[in-house]
Amino acid sequence: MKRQIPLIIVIGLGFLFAAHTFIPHKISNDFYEWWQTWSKAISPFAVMLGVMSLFMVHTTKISRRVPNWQYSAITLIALVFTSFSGFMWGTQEGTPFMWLFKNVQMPMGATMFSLLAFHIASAAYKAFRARSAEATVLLIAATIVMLGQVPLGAQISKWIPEASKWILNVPNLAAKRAIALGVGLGMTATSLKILLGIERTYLGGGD
Amino acid sequence: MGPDYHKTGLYLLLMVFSFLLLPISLYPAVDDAQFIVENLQVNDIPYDDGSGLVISWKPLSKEKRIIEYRIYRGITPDSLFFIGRIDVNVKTGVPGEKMYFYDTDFNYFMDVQSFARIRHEKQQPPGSPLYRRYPRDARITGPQLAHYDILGVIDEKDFYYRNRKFEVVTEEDTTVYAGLKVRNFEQLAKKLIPDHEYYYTVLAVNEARKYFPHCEPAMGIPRENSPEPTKEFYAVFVEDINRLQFEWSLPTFTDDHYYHRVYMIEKGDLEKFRDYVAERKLLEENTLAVKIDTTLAVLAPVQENPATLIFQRYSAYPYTPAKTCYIDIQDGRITREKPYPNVFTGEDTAVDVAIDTANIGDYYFVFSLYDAARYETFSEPGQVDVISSSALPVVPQFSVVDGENDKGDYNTIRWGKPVVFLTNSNYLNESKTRLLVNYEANTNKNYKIRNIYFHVYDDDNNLIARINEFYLDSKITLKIPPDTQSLHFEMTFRCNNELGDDYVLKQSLSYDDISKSLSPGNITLGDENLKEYEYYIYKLNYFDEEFRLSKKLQGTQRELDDNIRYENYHFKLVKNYDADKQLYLVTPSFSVRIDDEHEDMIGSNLYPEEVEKSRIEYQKEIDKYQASLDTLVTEDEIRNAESAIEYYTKRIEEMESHPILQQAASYQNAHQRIKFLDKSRHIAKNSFAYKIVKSDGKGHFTETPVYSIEDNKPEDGSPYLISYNNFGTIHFFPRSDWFKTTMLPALIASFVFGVLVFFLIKKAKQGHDLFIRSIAGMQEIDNAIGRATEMGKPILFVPGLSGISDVATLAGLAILGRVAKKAAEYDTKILVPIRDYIVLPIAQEIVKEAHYEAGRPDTYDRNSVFFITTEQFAFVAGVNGIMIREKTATNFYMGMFWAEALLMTETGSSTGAIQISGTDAVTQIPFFITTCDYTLIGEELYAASAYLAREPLQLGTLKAVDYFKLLILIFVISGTILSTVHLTFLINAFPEK
Amino acid sequence: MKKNFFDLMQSLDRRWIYLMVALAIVMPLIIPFNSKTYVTEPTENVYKKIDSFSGRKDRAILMCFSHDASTMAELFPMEVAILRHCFEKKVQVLTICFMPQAKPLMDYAINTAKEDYNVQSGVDYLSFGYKPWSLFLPILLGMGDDIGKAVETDDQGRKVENLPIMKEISNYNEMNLVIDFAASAAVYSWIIYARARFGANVAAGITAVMAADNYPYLQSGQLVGMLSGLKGAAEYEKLVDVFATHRDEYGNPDPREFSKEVIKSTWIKLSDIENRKYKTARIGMNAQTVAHVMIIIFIILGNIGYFVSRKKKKAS
Repeated sequence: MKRQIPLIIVIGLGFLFAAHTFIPHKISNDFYEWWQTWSKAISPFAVMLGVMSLFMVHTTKISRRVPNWQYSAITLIALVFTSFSGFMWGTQEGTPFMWLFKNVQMPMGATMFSLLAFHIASAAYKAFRARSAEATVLLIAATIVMLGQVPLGAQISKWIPEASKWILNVPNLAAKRAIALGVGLGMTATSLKILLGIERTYLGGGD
Repeated sequence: MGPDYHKTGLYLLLMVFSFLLLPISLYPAVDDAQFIVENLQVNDIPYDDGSGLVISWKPLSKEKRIIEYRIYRGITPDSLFFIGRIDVNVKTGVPGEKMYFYDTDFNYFMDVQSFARIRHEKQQPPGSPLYRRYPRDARITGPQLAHYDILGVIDEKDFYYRNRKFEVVTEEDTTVYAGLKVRNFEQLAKKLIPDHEYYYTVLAVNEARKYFPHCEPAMGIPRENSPEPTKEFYAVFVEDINRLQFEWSLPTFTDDHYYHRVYMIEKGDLEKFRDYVAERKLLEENTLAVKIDTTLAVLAPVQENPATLIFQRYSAYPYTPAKTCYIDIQDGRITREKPYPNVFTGEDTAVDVAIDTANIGDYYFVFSLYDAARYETFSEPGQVDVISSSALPVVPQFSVVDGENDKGDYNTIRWGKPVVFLTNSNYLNESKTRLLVNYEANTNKNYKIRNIYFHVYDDDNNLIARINEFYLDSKITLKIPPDTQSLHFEMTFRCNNELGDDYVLKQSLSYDDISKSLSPGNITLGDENLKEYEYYIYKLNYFDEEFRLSKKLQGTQRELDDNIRYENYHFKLVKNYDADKQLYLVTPSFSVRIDDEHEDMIGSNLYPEEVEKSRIEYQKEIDKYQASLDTLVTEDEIRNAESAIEYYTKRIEEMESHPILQQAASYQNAHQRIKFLDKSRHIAKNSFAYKIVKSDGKGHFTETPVYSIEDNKPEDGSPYLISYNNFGTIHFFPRSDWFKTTMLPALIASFVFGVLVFFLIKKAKQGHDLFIRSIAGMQEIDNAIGRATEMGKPILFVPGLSGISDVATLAGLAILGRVAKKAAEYDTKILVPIRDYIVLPIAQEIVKEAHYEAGRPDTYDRNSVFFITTEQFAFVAGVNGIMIREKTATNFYMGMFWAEALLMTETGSSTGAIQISGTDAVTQIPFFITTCDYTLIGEELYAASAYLAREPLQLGTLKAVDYFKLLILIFVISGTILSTVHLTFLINAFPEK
Repeated sequence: MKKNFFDLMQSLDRRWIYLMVALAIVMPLIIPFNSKTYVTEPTENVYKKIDSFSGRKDRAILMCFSHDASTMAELFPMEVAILRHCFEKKVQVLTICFMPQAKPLMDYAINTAKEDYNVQSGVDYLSFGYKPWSLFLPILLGMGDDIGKAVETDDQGRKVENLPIMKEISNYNEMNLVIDFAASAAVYSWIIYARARFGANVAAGITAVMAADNYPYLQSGQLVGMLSGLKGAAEYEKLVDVFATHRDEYGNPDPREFSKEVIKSTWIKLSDIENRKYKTARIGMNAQTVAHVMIIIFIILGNIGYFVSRKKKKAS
């Protein structure tokens, strides 16, 4: 029973929402909107779960004094202080919360993102070796696209940006569409498996 | 020597704390007096209905680091409530000398989110008059109702079913109200009342959110003003059909306009008329002056308006922004059966005036706006432009149909034949011999465009290109001779309906020196320049007195999807309250539709017994007026009494005989009665009649009759649409559709797919061996887990960064189930960091179940599946930290990833872990391939679960996907081939969007 | 065996690469040099579309900010350039965001661009402010009917429908262009709902990494245009300089008609532009150029090394 009831709910609602895609009627729309309000109500509870998990993991680490437990302490203090400042003084411009956002969150986010540049460079260095014919094609294509992306490419030859565009629009796009097609089908199949109760791992465990 | 973690940790903690102290320590103490806003002024807004004030003050200099100004209003200077704020950029401050805040119209007053009790503003000294927003508490906010017009916006369900009948007993009589709690109102909106005093103050808040003292409150009184003069007014006389046509523009503020009027002035009276207008201006100024200083003498009007009223149209709420009208002259006279009423003065103006059409130039015409405060503003008098009807535009045939594939909120209006026009051109080469021309095509469903033929001629009329556009991609390319200065396009169509041979559109491209390219000129059809005209779509429902403008569309448009909103609200004035029960009171009566003459509203009441009561009231009124008739002397009084009797008699008649009210009265069940009335109300509100005006904006227009279809009588033959299924003969009610026809291909495809799945599952169950090609990454899973076991290090599994509604996450979780089971069997720790908190409990459950299945429930650690953060890059930082500290031996990335993918996998590869990834994010696949040992590309991610499970149900589905893909490929290839040979039926069979 | 240069290159520690990348990026930012910007079609199309709304009260564009601070470097210059274009050419701008993190960025972009213009909130531009993500679809769809009803209030709590800017703007028919700025495929929702349902024009401002995702929509015409990464921003900056803010010989505003020829024949020197905020992207492009060239050099060196060592292996 523990399995059956959720499965019935999933299958029933799944087919209802699938039907909603085909039915523009007001009744169908109203039902969808009604459900949306409920789904919104779920997420605050889920946030609680997330925060609880965070607390449990880190308090365990601190209490057991596992190596690097200090980081856990910092995580918890930051969590408590940020939420406290938000609850206490609001999230408007000029509040401590906003100050934290602007001076801690924003620069740290940007830093992590900018690391991409370094990683791409090193990944490119490792990947682009003319080991085989295919690899050589990849190497040349990459060079052209990289040059095409910057003004220098156009300065060298006006064909470089054109070629870069062609690479992106023709072979690249063809491959992408093929993958996208497969992905779309894969998604449909997975959804169908869930609808029909074939795939049940999301309910916990295998089969 | 390794780092001393205790010390490092301490330093880090200190650093965090010093950060937190920074914002507080940054701001030195300041002298509050310098931060008080100066020069606060409250002024009346011109041309309005006496509900608007503008508050202005001098902003503080930017050195003062102000981020916000807060505005407070009250009816006395000693209690002022927060009404709004203006945010300011700290760095730049406010340029200019003045800042403005407009307190106009109905705007936010209170709603369910307001505080329950009254609250003082933050950081105020004791005794401060400043409060935060008006509270919900009726004891505080209730008395305010008398000083504002308060409009309650009430959801219909709340109005019908959550009201409480409430009687207010006074000495004279008892009034019944519907009482509602604040939570039953969507919002309460306020509007200032003319000639009332309102007090305002402003305070500044700096970037540390310090509230500085407020300035001395200033008082303002909103005044009623005359409407803003009309800027443009065009009068046209169409000679051969004896028709006067007028067109005008309307000012911005139109809420209190009551009548649109047109007057005629004989040439000789022009000076007199100007004097009259000047006197009206003086009178208005005098009225205002008297209000301010009551000792002043009231001026009496002396002059009569020398102009003759020839047209009047009701234009009050719901505002009717019609901008055209016409009058037919018959036998040299302008006449009208019914006189034009004026509800404010009670006067009726009969229209019967001679006009000498032979000397039409001797007349001047004037347009006026007459508002609810009885002010009238005239446009500049103008003479007619005499034309013949051949100079008027021709409105193509139009039709109104129910909007397709909608939830019943669209009517579609279609007119005319398809249009194509050139929008832009670019040279494709240096020598300027290849040209890319962009075009746009507009059409409606009556004419589906199959092909567009472009014939391009040069200046000498030589054909230089003939293009058959069979697939409309908004662009054509053509070869042109060098140094072409202009090109002439002739465009024809092939449609599903015959267009006629003479339907040719012409447009030229000519070289423009400024833009150094060929730019498109006018688009012509015959003699008509399509861009010269606009279409005005007018509509009228069973609630409006007059047609109103629905949309103005360019001459190149051919279709309008007219949106008809599902209005679920009732708008009620709130004038009364009950402090004990915390109720705000509104009238329980509501309108159902307008009567057949489009003059008066037919209404009903929430409480059936009240309907009967009002009938008795009406009868009493009639008797009262009847009795008074004998004693009245003046003509005006008698006329008033007579019209009152007429009015009440009509009301009673309607109550007794109107089919809707009759049927409503027949219901015993109150719920059913309201339901029926609401349905009738909806139908009345949402059924629209349409007409089109095609105009050049200067009075040269043609108006169509109202569109009607005779053979579309309501099913039950009744004159009233009382069924949702009717579409009407003149008034069209949009229907809710049950099937989206554009989704038919998708439905068929789903069905075919479903059949394939069933068939192949059956086959798989029968023991047929279904071949599945091996997936490298999946075969390696066992080895990868084994490696972690050998090394005694944990496994890391990231099930993507997106939420549970993403199918990729579900696929990732399915793989997690299998991996966790293997890991549990090998007794290897698995770490699952989660970004989406809804995924968290599901992932925990999956891992737990996997341990149980492996027979190792003891090794399950709930903390091994944990939430990090929803912040994308912070999550990456967390995961990277785990990889480095825990030295995970095997990393799995299965699910949806964005820009963070490479950040994780690069770190993973630098720690020397074996990495297996799978994603359907096409852009991230290259990164995964270069940095991971094995990558599941796109659909392999979805197939993985089936691959690992190896059971018939899963394999059957997987195989079905393969066959379906084959089907798609067949369609793609045949579509390509067919459309290459100009056969577009196949690609057209699929919906474009 | 003696290790030569190429062998070293083969086994180069990744930290050296990181250092070189850092230098290649930082140096051009510190010392800007004049470089040429070539304008591509998708950027041009966005520009042309926006420009066609100039001076019109019955047209507006909607800018949807769907990114956080982490991708600001690429997207922020675009936003400023577009806002500058709008303020210069009197195009009515509406802005909205559905992420709390985007709200300050949205304000920052508006404030940065409006500093040099006499524009007023509610009249020339309007920020709808932050709306919860759960309202994304309802608002997106609701704006097809009536913007005032869908978003209700602006970021100052004023009723949207009462504001002067909204006088002639009621739905996508008037707010005919939506530009979504994102580091993800967020623009997809606008395409399938706003475009497919209501015929709104949709354009995207997107980080270069994610740009490839949007090419299919661009090719099929579902996106009217796209600014991809810093390059797109630089191109837009140039277009604004060449056309919108163009001055005649007496220094009076003289916006030019759009034309490819003019773009080709105009070269704007970065050193002539005083205000750094209007050339951020172009300076950034300098850095990007140097970095790309450096990576290409690395790849070439790596490959030479690879061939040399393979030859050696074969020889031995």
